[in-house]
Amino acid sequence: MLAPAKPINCPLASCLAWSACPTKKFTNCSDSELSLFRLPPSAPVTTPSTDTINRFDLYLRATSVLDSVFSHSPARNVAMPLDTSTYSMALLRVDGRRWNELRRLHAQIRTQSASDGSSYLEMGHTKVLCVVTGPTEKLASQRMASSSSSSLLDVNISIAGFSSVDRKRPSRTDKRVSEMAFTVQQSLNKAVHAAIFPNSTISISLTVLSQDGSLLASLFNAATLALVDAGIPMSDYVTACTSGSTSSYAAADDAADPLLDLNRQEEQELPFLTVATLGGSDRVCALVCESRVQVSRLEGMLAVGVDGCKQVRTLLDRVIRERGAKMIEEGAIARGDVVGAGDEMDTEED
Amino acid sequence: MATNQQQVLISPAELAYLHASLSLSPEPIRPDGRSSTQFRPLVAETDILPGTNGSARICFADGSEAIVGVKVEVEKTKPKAGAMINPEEGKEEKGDTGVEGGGGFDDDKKNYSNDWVELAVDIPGHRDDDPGTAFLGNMILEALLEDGELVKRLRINSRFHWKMYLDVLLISQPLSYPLPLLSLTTHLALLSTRLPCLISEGDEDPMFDDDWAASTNLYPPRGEKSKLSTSRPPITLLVMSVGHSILFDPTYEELAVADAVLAVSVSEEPTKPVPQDTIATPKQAKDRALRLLSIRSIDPPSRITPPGVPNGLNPATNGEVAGLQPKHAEARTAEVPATEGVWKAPRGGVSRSVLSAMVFKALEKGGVADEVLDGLQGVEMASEILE
Repeated sequence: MLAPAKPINCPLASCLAWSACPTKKFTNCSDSELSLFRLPPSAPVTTPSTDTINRFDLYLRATSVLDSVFSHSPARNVAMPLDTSTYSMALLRVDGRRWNELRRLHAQIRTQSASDGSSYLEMGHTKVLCVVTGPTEKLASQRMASSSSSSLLDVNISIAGFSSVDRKRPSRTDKRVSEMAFTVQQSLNKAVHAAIFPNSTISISLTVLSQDGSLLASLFNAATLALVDAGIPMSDYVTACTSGSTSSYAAADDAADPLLDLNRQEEQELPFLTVATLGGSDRVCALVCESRVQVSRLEGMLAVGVDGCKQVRTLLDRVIRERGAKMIEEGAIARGDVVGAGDEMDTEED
Repeated sequence: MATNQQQVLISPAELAYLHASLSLSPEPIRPDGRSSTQFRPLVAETDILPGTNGSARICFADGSEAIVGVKVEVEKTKPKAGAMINPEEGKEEKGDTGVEGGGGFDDDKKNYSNDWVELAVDIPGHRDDDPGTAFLGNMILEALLEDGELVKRLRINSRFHWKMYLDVLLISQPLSYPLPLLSLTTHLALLSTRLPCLISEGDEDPMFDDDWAASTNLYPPRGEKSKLSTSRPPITLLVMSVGHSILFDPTYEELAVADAVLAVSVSEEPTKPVPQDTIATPKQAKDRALRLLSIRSIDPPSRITPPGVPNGLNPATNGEVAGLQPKHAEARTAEVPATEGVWKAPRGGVSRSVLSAMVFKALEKGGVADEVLDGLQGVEMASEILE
């Protein structure tokens, strides 16, 4: 049997593969085989040979059936590729923003009473919950495991199965998730005054409820807010955001603009990087870029990203200050205890 | 109870005090002042995540918090084979006659499968293949499948069905045994679940209405015309006994002195579907018939030998040390009379009358299950008003 073993993205190739097994009929093939014939709508229509014409019809039928079957999901976007060429016409992005605009950032702290610190952060439609427990004594097992690297923070990310459009079974061994956890841990470790807490551990558990781009940046921002809520002394806020470029690597477009705070659709299409800075300074503490980008564009992207981090810091700072003012109003803390009356809010007292 | 902290960080004197005050009759004194059948106050909200088909969040007053998200996908039903219907389901089918009348299903095409529902529990700091987590998830899933109503609602036609994924997330650290919290959140999430409106007919390939406003509730609200029965998703309650007192929704400290802990799954007896031309009045607690779905016993921390107890004193090893004569003969005697003010871990079983009283108290009319279902219905109605 010459049935294709892996998805083939060329319609002609799949037609030929089908023609090679003439006994097979569409009606009794299984779901997995059907899914091979799902192609992006933009796939070039090639003229099939007379031998394969019937099966090509079947393929068309299969795609239309499946499209109707799979288009039930409430938040499903139409799977159209992003047409980045429209950007140059009105200088507006797919969601109507300009190049230097952040999405709506909404954050709350102290969302959960049982933990030492907690936060909830929305960057556009990306929603992250963070819970901080600690500082607590390191357990014997943890001490053994981390004897080489005396790390104070213990970051744990769980991505909910329902967070993306298609339900995905969360797996413990996802390398991408562990890499994100490592990046957050390493960068926050530098901002936290770890010397105050010898032999202790602070566990940060992040839960992703909804994903729409800038995931790593949201994780950074949520973790920072929760650490501030827990009263862990830090040198400054660690804030992050993403920045990208309006044209892909292959397009030798000199007039490419940098973009701030990409959503999922843009992330899939364009080169982007995540940058985290310490407070309002230009000190970059994490820089992650996983896509191919031309070196000449990197500087512009980085500058826009660092500027975005400053904007995020202002927004997060406002959230903390509003919460603090509310706590004073409610009488939870005395008026005299106000810390950092000036611009800088270096540490939070418990 | 692997999802709970194995070691109880409560001193023996405190344990003895707790045990004495909880086993008082007629009304035990609980550390937080609740009555024996009272639940902890909770904050609940539904439809919190627009990207899911249904979602809910519950926070207990002690700070434990859970979020449940429901996603569904269309899946091709496996062709009916001889071994397709498992024995329990076949039995269940015969048992209830309430849905048969207007359920709208062809009698010969009932190829429901328990594989249509998948449930994953995520507890911070625990691996998802941890036996405690798996046990917790299976207890919730068992009640949903044993009820049988959920799987029936997932059928589209004889060739297709909805595959349902329930993701249960505990956000806080597990403070007490999180079973009631997770079960109640799952109940609410299922109540808020909406499925796209089917526009194709019969056994055609399913086509759905693009308009999300036209979607239908998986569990239609009371008083709405529907061809489905008006049953609700099941709930699982945690019941514990200390001496002769029976307590619901125990906290971490209370579990530390428990004699027996049961997880009791309860659902409503399904009623006849509402005829299309009449609108039924919302059901009251008084005419709700409850039925028992499952009982599971759970090992409380009080049954686990604390660390640092030598084998010679450990009742679990019968006081025997390998290769040595037992030095402490008293460990071998079955029961030592209790001394006032000295904590002694419970040994031996729990009498049958106590166990039956625990189940009876959960199921009785106007009892705890009734009260909880009424409360959750209130959340459901409040969210409808907000819409």
